[in-house]
Amino acid sequence: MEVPVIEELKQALRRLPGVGPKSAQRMAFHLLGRDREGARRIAEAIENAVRDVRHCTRCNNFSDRDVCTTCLSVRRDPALLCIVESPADVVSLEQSGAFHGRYFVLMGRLSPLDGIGPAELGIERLEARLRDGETKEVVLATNFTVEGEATAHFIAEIARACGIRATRIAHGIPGGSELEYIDRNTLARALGARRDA
Amino acid sequence: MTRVSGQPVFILHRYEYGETSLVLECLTPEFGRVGVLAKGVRRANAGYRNLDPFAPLLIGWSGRGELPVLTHVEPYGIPLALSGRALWCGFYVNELVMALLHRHDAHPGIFHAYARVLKLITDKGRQDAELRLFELVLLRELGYGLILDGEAGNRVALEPDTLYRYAFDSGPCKGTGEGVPVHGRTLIALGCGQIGDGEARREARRLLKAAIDRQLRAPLRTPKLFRQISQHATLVLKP
Repeated sequence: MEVPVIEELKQALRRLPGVGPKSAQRMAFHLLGRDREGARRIAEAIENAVRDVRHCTRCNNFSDRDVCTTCLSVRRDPALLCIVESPADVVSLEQSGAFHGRYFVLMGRLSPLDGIGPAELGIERLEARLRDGETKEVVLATNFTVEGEATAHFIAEIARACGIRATRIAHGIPGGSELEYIDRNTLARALGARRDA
Repeated sequence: MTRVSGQPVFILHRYEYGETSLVLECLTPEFGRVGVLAKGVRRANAGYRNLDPFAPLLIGWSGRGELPVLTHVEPYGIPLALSGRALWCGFYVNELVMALLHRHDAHPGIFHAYARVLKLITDKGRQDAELRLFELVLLRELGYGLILDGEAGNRVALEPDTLYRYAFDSGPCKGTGEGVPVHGRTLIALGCGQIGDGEARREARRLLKAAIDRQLRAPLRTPKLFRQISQHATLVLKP
């Protein structure tokens, strides 16, 4: 017997990444049968987030105010601007504890074959940010895919045109790994980027 | 059930498929362009994950129908390091092959020309000429080759200083009428697999672009993006 509201809930849950029909049914039955309070909290949290979360006008990351706390923090170095593809990359870099500058989140990358160019990425906002006089070095932390490389190269060109130093995060051997098991592409790049010991 | 192993490929493009998989569009010498499903390669603990375009790989696949499953992958030969303008040229070449070569249409000549152009576009001074030569080979292999050995119809030898009109249904014609204006010397050079300088290069580009445009179902995206990019930065590319 099909109950329309349950079907609707299952369909709604299937919008989540990685949730197929079976998982959606299990989640729906769990929430309705065993955790109605949890279901209310999820519904409320989603509603609040969708209502309040927007893009920070400075760094383009998700924020619940016009300018996010990272951009407002006086403890961060305003001369360093790290460019990343996604909000998840900001989280990873923050967890490394090694970066104390500010961020700009592209929310994507240049992907010529998918038709994603500078206009689709909103590069104008980044350009405006680079021209504000605060940034002295752009740290390019886009992914090490061909699209990430193309994006980094393009932004480096813009930075140079603005008289700003552009650096790329290093590409090398992951910590705790053995050379025997490293792919030759990574190894070639690591050799190319070697430095004085 | 088809099982293929040890096939040299270049990945032209890849799309995300589900949460952890990729669909790879590969260029192979024996099978032409093939789509292969690479299951689970986006997982953190996946084995070989460097499935980027332009990397020479040796792969195997198995399965029936349009989308067989990747069974084996390993790097093959010396990795190519495309960067900057060469990378944009590479994207253009990939889009061109994706647009003009149908799946399962085997052309070893296209595979070899592709491997060659990827190597040569790393030389900044040769990029434009090598892109034009690749376009020329691609059109020829696909059966849309240009007539470069004489005038339309009578095949009278081309005169270097004469301005011809290249009509795609017949070839280079003297006099006025429909077609792309092009000098004899440009056509003679193309016939010898060479791209001249200055005006000859511009003419070759215009002619090949018109020849390619006739075969496209939709305009290519990369040239439009290059124009956007060159407006932003100092990069200027005219594929």
